[in-house]
Amino acid sequence: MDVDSCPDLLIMGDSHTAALELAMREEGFSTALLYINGNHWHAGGFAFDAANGLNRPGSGYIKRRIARARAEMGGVMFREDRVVLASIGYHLGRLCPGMLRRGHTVDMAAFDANPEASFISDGMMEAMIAAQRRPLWDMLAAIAKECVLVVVAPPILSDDALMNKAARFITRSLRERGVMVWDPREQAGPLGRPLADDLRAADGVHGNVAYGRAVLDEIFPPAMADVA
Amino acid sequence: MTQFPNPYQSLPPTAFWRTGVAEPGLDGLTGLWASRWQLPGDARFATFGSCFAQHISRAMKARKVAWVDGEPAPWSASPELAAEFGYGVFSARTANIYSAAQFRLLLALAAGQGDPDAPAIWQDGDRYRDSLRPVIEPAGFASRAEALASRKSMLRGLARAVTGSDVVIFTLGLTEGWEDANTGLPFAVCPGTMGGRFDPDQHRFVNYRAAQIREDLDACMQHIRTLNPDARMLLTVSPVPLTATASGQHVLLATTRSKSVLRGVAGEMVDDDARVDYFPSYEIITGAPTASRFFEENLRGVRPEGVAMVMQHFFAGLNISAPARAVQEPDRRLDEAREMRRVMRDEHLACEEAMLEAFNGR
Repeated sequence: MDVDSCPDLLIMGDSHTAALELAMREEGFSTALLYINGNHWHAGGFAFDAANGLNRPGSGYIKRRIARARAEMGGVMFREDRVVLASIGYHLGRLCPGMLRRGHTVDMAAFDANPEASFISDGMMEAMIAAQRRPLWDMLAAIAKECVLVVVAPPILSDDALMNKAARFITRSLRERGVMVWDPREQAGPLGRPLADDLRAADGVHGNVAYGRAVLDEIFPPAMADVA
Repeated sequence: MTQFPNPYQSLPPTAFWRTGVAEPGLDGLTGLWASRWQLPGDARFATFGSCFAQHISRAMKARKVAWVDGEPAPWSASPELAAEFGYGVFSARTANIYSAAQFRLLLALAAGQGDPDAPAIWQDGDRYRDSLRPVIEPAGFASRAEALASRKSMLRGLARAVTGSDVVIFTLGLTEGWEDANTGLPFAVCPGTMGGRFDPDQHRFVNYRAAQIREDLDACMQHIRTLNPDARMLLTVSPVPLTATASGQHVLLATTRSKSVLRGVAGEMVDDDARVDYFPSYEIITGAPTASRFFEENLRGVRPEGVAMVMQHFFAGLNISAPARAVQEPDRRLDEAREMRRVMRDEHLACEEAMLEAFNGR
């Protein structure tokens, strides 16, 4: 496949890529997908530079996935005229449980209500997140210089204070690096609230295709046809 | 000269300077401390106090002594990040406690006596600092409410540390401090130095006298016993000189007075209360045998070899020969690691399942 006949758009990231991928396909767009389990993004170790592209040294499984996506994109994953949607840099399901594992909370009301709880300040929370996610954010900032990158923040699953505080901080951190981010937490209407049943996937922790469609409508108004 | 029978004739060699100090020399010093308590083999220790107390915390952890952490860092924080935010430095996130008055206040609040919101929160621009531990949060807190929540979390941690320990080790640092002129509540440091703004009408210098320090330490012991009736307190005096004095004296004289008062009060506490003991950190570092060799070039910081010698004498004198408690507590870290592996595994499954839907052709 040559570059000119390759898919309209690349979607890459963790399991939240599923809703976006399904929605794009339903709309009739050809997409390339680079899905890598969130545990790997969380673990880190990815590298990117313009000359060598995306890589994760030491993992054959991931190398193969990257190579397949690159081939689908005509040998060049990131081009300045190519849109890339990424669900990378958050991975809240891996990030947040560890912070709470010893009875901590970032929620002052929850702290007051539970005499056994310990409180985490925003400063501490942000420092922990940055320590774990900074390499991914820097990687995304480098990729953003090579293509039209939009990072799509994960859906709002609940009113969980940590999840939402963490997501907002990550969004802010990415923007500070010059990365475009679409975050449902900044949306009015159903996308800006905890996922309703009709937008929630069967597993309960992802958006479904309807959610993906709604997200894409927000990212690419007024018509998704402009994407390509 | 005719010698008549007298009490000195039956004293051990360590009671005489020549045989106790001059002849053995620094490396031959023995019997500087023998714990007055026989503790169980798994005795648990909490550590608080001035900056020298950090060395004691660190040495206890290194020696795998049961050091109580009443306010552990979040599980996912690296040790370096945790330390930057004051976790794991002392047995709760108290930061340095320099005076007995400050320790008394913290223990009272931890024991539920007094209003934890009463000590000042200092506003610096759009950030807030806890006057009881102004640099515990490197960039300050985002709001007054957050600073107070963090303070309450520390007080819970302090209560847990005291409740969970057999011995509370408190390193006395200074006699000099600063108080709120209206409330009499102590500050950790002088307002204006590490947060807050100094106001001569509102902030008052105090050089605590021996009687006041004694009263404060007695009150500390009462609060400790309220939280844990079986707990003991091991006092030590930091050998680290004052950085600066506000007493009007030369700093060398102020240091000598400060340390002498603290050392004297600690000795009298031990004389009067069987639940209190004294460990001679101060003497080991500053005594004549060392000829100041354990101080850094600034004649203030303590060299690692000095700390090592202090801890060598500490562990030599520690008596943990009583049987360990029958019930072994599970290793929390192992449990946590197992639980996190389970969470990650479940996450993996959930996410792989979500991806399957992406291949639904409809």
